[in-house]
Parts: sequence; C-alpha cells; structure tokens
Amino acid sequence: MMGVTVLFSVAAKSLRYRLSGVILTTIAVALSVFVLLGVEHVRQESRSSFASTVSGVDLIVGARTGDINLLLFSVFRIGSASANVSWESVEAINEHPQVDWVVPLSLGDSHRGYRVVGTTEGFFDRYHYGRKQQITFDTGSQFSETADVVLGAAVAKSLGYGIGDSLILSHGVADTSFVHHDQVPFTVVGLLSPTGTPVDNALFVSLEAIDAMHADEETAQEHGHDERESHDDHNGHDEHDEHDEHGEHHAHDEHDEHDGHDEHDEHDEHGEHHAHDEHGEQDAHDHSGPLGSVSAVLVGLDGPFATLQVQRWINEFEDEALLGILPGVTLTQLWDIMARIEDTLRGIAILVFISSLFGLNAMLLASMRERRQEIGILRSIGAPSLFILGMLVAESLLIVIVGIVLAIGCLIVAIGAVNGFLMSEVGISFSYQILYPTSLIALTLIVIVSVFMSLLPAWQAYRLSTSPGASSSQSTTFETRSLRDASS
Amino acid sequence: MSDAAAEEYAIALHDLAFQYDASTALVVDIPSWQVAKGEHVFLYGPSGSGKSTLLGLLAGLQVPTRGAVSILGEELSGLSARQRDRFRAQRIGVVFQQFNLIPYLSVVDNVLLASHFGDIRQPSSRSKALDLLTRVNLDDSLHDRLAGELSIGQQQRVAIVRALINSPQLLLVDEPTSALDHTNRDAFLALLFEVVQASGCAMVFVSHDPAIAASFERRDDIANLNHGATS
Repeated sequence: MMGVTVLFSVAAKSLRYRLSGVILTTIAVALSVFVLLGVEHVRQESRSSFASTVSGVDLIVGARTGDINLLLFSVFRIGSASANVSWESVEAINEHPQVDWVVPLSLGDSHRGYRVVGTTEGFFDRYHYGRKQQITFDTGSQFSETADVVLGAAVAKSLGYGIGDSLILSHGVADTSFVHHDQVPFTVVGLLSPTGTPVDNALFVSLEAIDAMHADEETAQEHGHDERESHDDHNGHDEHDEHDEHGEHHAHDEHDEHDGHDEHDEHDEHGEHHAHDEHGEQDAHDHSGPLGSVSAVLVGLDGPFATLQVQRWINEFEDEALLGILPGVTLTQLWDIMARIEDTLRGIAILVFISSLFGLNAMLLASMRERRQEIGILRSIGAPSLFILGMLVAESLLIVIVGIVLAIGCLIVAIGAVNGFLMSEVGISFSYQILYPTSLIALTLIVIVSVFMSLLPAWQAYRLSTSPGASSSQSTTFETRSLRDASS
Repeated sequence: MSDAAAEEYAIALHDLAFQYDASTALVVDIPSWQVAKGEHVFLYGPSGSGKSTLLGLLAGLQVPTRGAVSILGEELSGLSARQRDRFRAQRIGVVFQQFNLIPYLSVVDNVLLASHFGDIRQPSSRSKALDLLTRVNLDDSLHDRLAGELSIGQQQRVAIVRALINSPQLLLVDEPTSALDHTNRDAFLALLFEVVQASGCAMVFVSHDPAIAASFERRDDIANLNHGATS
C-alpha cells in the first residue's frame, strides 16, 4: 500500500506546514477527547468503587423503611434510621439456621461532624469492600475497652488524631451538637487504613460504649458501665494462644464457649458471637427502647442460595416491622439515580467533541482557498481527484489520532496528579486502566465520525480539483495579468 | 483523421470546442491543430484568448464540450478520469507560470511525488531526480529544503525537473518566465531548451513575451487557430 503511505506522508507534511492552526485544532480535539474519556473513566471508576462500597454482606436489615434509605444510612451514613431494630429481633435473626453471622450497627452519634458507629469487633472482620478486601488497621487495633475508639482514615487525618488521643463524642449528627457525652472521654486505640469507602469517615466504638454513653446521660448511673467492665475482666484468657491480636475479643469469648465450640478456629465467626454478647448484656441491664436496640444489622448467610429466603423471612418478620435488602441490588438502584447525572455529563462531553470536530472542519475549509493552487499542482502532476479527497481525510484523521493520543497521555498524567491528592485525602485512587470496551467503541466512533465529517471539506477539495479552475495556471495567470494590465 | 495519422502527432485536435457552461460562449473553438512529436511550438496571444483553457484540455484536466483531443496517439475522451490522471502523470509534463511546487514538500519530494503518480516503480527514480536537479544547477544543499523556501527562479528550475522526471513525450509550459527577471528568464530558457532537447519531447510553450518567441521555429498565434476567443 505504497499509495496510502504517500498519502499520509504528504498529509502529515501538509499539516506541519500549517502548524499553528493545526496545533490549536489538535489541542481542541485532544481536550474534547480528554473530556470524553475522562467522563467515561470517572463514570466507570465511580461505578465500581460505588458498587464495591460494601461486599461480603449478604443482607442489611433495618426497621421498615425505603430500600435506598436503609442503604444510605447504614452504609453511606447519610440520613438516619426512622426506627430501630430491637435486640430480640437481632437475636432472632442470628438464630436463623441459614444466618452465618450478624454485625449490628448503632448510629446516631457524631464527633465533629463525623459519624460514630457503634458496632462489634466483628465489623472489622466481616465488613469488606472492593473485591472482598478486608478492613485493615494502619496502626493500633480494634477497641477492647468500652472507652476505646477506632478512627477511619479520613477522620484521623483531617482531625489529626493519633493513638492515645482522647476525644468526646456528641449525641446527634450535627456538626456542632449541643449535647456532648462529656462523661465518657474516648481513647483512640486504632487507626484504619484508607478504604475509599464511607468507613474512612466514621469513628467506631463498641456497642457497649454507645449504651454506656446514653445510659450515663440519662441516669448517670455507673453500674451498667461497671458491670460491663467486670464482665470483660473475668472473661476468656483461655484463647490467648490463638488470638494474639484479638485479646480484646475475649470479653466475649466466654459466651462463645457455650454456643459455638465448633467455630472457634475461625476468626471470622466473631461477629456472630458478639451479637450474643450484646444480647446477654442488654438482658442483664434490662435496657429497653433505643438503648436496647440498634439501627441496622449486617447479615452474612451460609450460602448465596439462602439470600432470598432469609430476606423474605425478615420482611415478614412477625414481632417487628423489618426490612432486609440485598446491598448489591440496592446499590444498583441507587446508582441508577446517579447515572442520570453521568448521562448528562456524557452528553455534554459528546457535544464538546462534536464542536471540536466542527472546529477541525472549519480549519480545513478555511485552508481551502489557499490550497487551490496546491490542489491544482497535484492534479497537474497526475494526482487523481480521489488522492485530493483522501489527503483531506488523512489530515483530519491524523489530527484526530494525534488528539486521541494526546488526550490519553494527558488523562494518564491527570490521573497521576489527582491520585496523589485523592489517596491522601480520601483514600481512593483512579486506576490507570482508562480504556474500557465502551471507551474503545467510543474512540472508534470518534475516528469514524471525524472521517465522516471531514468528507465535507474533502468533498470541496475534490470539487475544486475537478472544476475548471483547478489548474492553478488559470487563476494565477488572470491575477498577474490583471495586475500587469493595471500597471501599464 | 485516422488513428494511424494521429500516432504521428504529439497533439492532434479535431473540431475541438469547450465552454465552461452551456449558457456562456465557447472559450475554445479549434477546427484543427497538430503538433508533431518532438516539435516545439510557441503559442502566443492576449489574455482571455483561451490559452490556459487549451492547456487544460491538452493535459486532460478538462473534458472538451465537443470534438477530440488526441495526445500521443491516445484519444483523451476515450479514457476514464482515473486513466486520464495516470496518462497525464506518465506522458505529460506541466510547468506553470508560478507556484509549481507543493510548498511543504522538499525539493526532492516534489519531484518524487510526480514520479509516484507516474507509477514508475524504479528505485532509480531518486537518483534520476538528483541527476536532473544537478543538471538545472540546483546543488545538493537545496535538495532537502522545502520548496516554499526557494526563490522563484529556483522553484521554476525544480518545476522543469518535476515535469520531466517521468520522461514525458509532451511538455506543456504556461508563462514560466513571467515571474522572473530578465537574467533569470534567459538562464531559465537556456536550461529548459537544453533539458528538453536532451529528452526529445514535444513542447507547447504559452507566452505573450515576444522576446521568447525568437527561440522557437514554430510560432502560432492563438487568435488564428482559436475561433472561440472573445477578445
């Protein structure tokens, strides 16, 4: 295909000759492709990070409310629970034969604008994000004492807390809450590694701590707190050999002994047991109302096939109006709402791209006048009209391809630049995998559309090349003649 | 005129007429005109006499409204557009008044592009180009310069090389010296004759400059042969 080589070589030299205009046009194309690919990349990345906010959790159970509301407050900690789930129900769910584990969540407190999550140690084992990634501790470990608090990465970073710092939690979730649980200063015992999920923006305390806070607040009675402390004290030294890092757990291990010997070898089972512990403690203190309840429960099942069955059982729960949702399904529903915004962005990106193509065409059309001679010359040395047409198409093609390469390069550089910031601020990063099947299709379409659009100036060039005025001799001869006539 | 007779001529026109569109008068109306192979013709006439249009017809860039253009024995109207392009590339060389070269290609590339369209696949075309360039006194240092950077005189010399690279049998030259001063003009003409003589091709040289006419044995007034001229 020597002809094609010549075609592109001539086209490339022609572009180099008109470099300033070509550079501007190429930048315009590159920018528009950059926006197009960038929007697509952010879309894909946010979709996957969104979908991976929570994994490994089969069901999320809360008091009956909307699916999305339950997901929003339990996972994203947006909004709040309309009602709570009683301990009796948590217990009942845990005892369901197909339920593997439960992790209760107690929400509703905050610290300087960050949500406080009361939960069990099982949360750190059970809650996964991304592709089954576990939450890991950057430093320290999970709470063992009631007054221990574990901080999400973003909380620790933005508030500047480290291990051993003490802080006061507030009731309610407003940034400046008037009700502080001043009575209970918490000590930071663990900092989580960044996850890029709402986990980063939360503080984690034990359910006992939540209870203690509210109990103290209401009655200022100390005995509940003491009770728990003593409970912890005389608990489980028997398993220190297996669970070195989980010494803190042992408060609950005694309970484990009598309901789950068979599962002791697995760390993973802790979540389940804590629920029992809580239940036991709640019973002991005879809490009722909000103190004896949690906001939501994360549930793990024995197998994927049990999901719908258990969900139905929960939704038809007799003692309490409960709602069980499949996180994946509800995330998708939530995503569909957000997807409209992205469709809009995508639409804008496409319009930007089309306008850059018009710019490209305008440049080629504007150059047509000065290219009359060039076309005439090419014709006179035997260039077929199709060569002229092909040359114009090749020129647009080159501009678009250089634009695309430039855009991809810029996107990679931009991801690198943004990632440094994102990683340190919110613990997420964009992948460098910027070419998806959809974006490859988009790029192919970009090339096809630009070729198609370049047919307009190319056709004009073709027409010029076949029109009688094509032989440049004529126009130029006439011009110089008229000049000469004027002077004589 | 028989085909056999046409074979004898570089150019044979018969009852040729051309108009740009049906509503305007004929620009070219030539009952008969021949140029023998290897013959050099000086064609002169005032502006608007249809000289450039005639050259377009001879080069096959334009299709006659009526009549026949036979070039080197080939009836141009019998060829497809693609065939005419190929024919022009291979058999006809064209030199214009000015702006002969693609400004963004180097001197050598300008010449080689013509050889590309001539479809003559010989590795020697480059050495032939360099050889011809040397013969028109364009030294090596200029070969890789962009054509647009050369002086007009240099460009016109490159144009001769470009026109002759495919060893055409007909050279069409349109006012090639009008942009040159006297010294350059004479040098250019001397070169042109030298190179054309060596190649043995026929030449139609269009100009209104009587000083050049003296160099030609045959001088045709376009007013005499073109009845369609409206001046």
